[in-house]
Amino acid sequence: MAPPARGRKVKRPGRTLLLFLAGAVALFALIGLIDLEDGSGHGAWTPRLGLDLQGGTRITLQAESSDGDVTAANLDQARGIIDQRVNATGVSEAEVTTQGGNQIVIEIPGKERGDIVDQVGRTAQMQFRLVWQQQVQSTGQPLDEATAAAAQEAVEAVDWSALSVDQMIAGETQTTASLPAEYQAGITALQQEAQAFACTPDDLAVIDTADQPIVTCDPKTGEVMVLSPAVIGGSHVKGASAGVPQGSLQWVVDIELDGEGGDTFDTVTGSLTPTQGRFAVVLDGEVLTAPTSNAHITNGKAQISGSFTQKTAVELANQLKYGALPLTFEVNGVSVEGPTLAGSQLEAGLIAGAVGMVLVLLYGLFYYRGLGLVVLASLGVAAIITYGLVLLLGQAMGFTLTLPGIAGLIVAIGITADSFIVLFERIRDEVREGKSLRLAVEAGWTRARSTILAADAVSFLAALILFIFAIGVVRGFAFALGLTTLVDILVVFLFTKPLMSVLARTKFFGQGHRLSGLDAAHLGIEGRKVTETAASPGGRS
Amino acid sequence: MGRLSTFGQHLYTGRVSFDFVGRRMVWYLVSAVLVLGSAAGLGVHGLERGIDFKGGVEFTAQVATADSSSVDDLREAAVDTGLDAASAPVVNTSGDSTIRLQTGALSQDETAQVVEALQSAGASEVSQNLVGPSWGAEVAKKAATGLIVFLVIVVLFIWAYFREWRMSVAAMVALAHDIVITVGIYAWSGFEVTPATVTGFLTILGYSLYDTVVVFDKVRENTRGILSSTTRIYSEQANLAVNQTLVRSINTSITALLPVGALLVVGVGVLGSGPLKDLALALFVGMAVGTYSSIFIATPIAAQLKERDPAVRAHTQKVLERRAKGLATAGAAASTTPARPVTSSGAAGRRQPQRSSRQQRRGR
Repeated sequence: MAPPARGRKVKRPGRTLLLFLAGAVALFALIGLIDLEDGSGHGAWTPRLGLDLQGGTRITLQAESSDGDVTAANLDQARGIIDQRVNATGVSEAEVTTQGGNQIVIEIPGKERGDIVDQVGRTAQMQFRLVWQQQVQSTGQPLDEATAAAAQEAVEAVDWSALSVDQMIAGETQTTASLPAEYQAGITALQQEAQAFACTPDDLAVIDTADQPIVTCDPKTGEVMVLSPAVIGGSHVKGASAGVPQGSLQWVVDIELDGEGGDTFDTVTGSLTPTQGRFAVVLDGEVLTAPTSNAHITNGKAQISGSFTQKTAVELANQLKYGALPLTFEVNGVSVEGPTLAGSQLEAGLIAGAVGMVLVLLYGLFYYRGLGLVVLASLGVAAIITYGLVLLLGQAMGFTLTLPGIAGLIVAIGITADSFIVLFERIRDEVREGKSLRLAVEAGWTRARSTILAADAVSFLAALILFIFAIGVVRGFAFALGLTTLVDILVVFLFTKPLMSVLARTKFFGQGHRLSGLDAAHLGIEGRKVTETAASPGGRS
Repeated sequence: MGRLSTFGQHLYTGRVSFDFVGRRMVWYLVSAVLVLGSAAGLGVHGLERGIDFKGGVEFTAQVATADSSSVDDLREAAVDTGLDAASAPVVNTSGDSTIRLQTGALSQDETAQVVEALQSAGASEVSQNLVGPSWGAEVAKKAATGLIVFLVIVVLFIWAYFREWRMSVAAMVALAHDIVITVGIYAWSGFEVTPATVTGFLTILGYSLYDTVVVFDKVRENTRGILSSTTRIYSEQANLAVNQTLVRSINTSITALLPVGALLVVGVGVLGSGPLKDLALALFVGMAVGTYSSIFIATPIAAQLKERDPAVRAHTQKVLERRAKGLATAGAAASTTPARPVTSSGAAGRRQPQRSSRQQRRGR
């Protein structure tokens, strides 16, 4: 072998390689550490699988705002409500996330619970209403269709929104008989409906229109009521909290209204308190609470007391706080995947990945011969690092591997291999120019480096933007693609290139052995040796 | 393999050269025909939209053996529920033991009813996918937003990286070309378009540009300081770049298509139709088109735009004039130059730039 051509800055490819491998070991040591710490029994050594790979239910809801704009804060609040609703159904381990600026995704691993969609996806609209008639003795016998239709028509025939707050208050304090004459037919119809109202989930699915009176019940007590049109909208609720006041043992719920809501509340409580009148807070046609007004509240800060437990108090406070959200939800998708289907999808993804990897490696060995081993080592290292990162990200930020994610990883094999190809071709170009392999590696690298960086930057941009904007299956795919692009850069810079530099010093590659992929014949350089001093490997004829 | 390598060497030195840039009108014509054909396909056939774009419920039932009798059993079971939306389900097998059944929009209760019916008709496990009517539109809308942001950023990126707006334009034209033709293939073939397909389309953008950037990088390298050269002109150097990266392009395409092909074959083999197939198919078609466009479309357009630049045009004229003169005075020069293009080059018999290796130069 020729004496090393000194004069250039001496690099230490061996040291870079060792550092890189040390980094890789550290990555897995970290995962091992997490695994030991992890008490959940899930373990850190297997990736977190998405629903499509382990079975389960995914519900996608699309939020729509009445005033047109779904803000991030709005959506996050909605996510909180939905999370709470899901928990209320008794489903544990559900994960509720937001996507793409207006989607809320509920994922329930391992369970087939598409049935909860109606409960969790209902519209959250809260109103304060006056109790026009309480403790209706309901027969629970549904009205026949014609009577029901006639009653509904009678209610809708009058313009309830023309009533002033004072008139509505009078409707409670001085009975509904005090309302103007044109409303009396509607009142009669409401009473008729109330008597037929059974406090069942079916009946409770009433249409809750803010400017119309409503017949509904409190599902906790079963009390059926006729309620006035809304006097205060839920959006006037500034906050609500549960707590035990000093010197008391009972849980209470504090509620705070904004200026406009507070003013109305002032009027309402001022009129109701003398007669111990009640008002009701209604969420989606369902009475959350219907407290008696015991005090004239002038500052918008009220306290609801009663037989609350900690749980019921916190629940009500949350409902009051979040129920005000001006968002409605549309069901975009409910997918329930059984374990068998999920299993075969996982299997297909793994087989496809293995087959794809082997094919690329075979092609690498076939075309690049000895250099194919470099492809093999680099792809292997890239695969191991990627797997490690998938594990780590699964632990750190809950990244789950989905079928599109696996597809992304498989597609990335090609893009990763391309970096090696760009590098090899550049090195071979330099060898063709007549450089010795050691110099060719350095010169080829200088040129390949910028190409690889630019191309990977474009690829990463594509993945990043897809991830930010996309919804549904696209995200897992984009994440995998972006991740592997970064791994690709890492591997090419810290593994493949140093490895080439080291190999260039070996006899096998440095002198262009027949099987190295760098021999004269293979490069198509006729009658020329790869390095000046090596014995002729024999030109192609 | 040695032959391909020799071929690679010849491409590199310019001994073998395909005139990608000079014959651009041919490629433009080919692409124009394909693009028009695609547009026609889109107009005539439209795209076959999957259930995600129409709304409805897809049931995936596991059965002992998926054959025509079990398909009929399940279809009958669905129809017998008496639900309007399930009166004409689309049923097909997917793999050995899976049957897919699609109905119109159903409520949760109705969905549960169908699941029960399918189970009593012999399905061991029934997975459901209920899709709201606006889901597909939402997916497409988000994808379009992402696409626009991506294009703007990439145009800026390429412009900043290559310091050359013409390359941005050329890359965008190539990109649009890839998308249109891929969509056209979908229109003509009647492959179903699902969100997974849209994912595939979006990935093609990244891939197509990736490929183009690699070729452009070589073009930039070859044309650095071109205006002070007395023997080389821009188009020829650009063409040399395409030729020099041709082996890489071929290898890259093969290595990219191999895993995608595996995905396609395994996806269809194990799962039948499904997201894996949709994704892999879109990628497979798009990558093939993308490789074509970075060689035949992107570089010729970049070169053509560059040749319109007054400075470059003047330089090209000067070099060509000098060349004509040189040929007249030293007619024998050609015989000393071994590297003649094998394919005779395009218009006006332009000679391809020639490079011979140091060894060759020394040896002769």
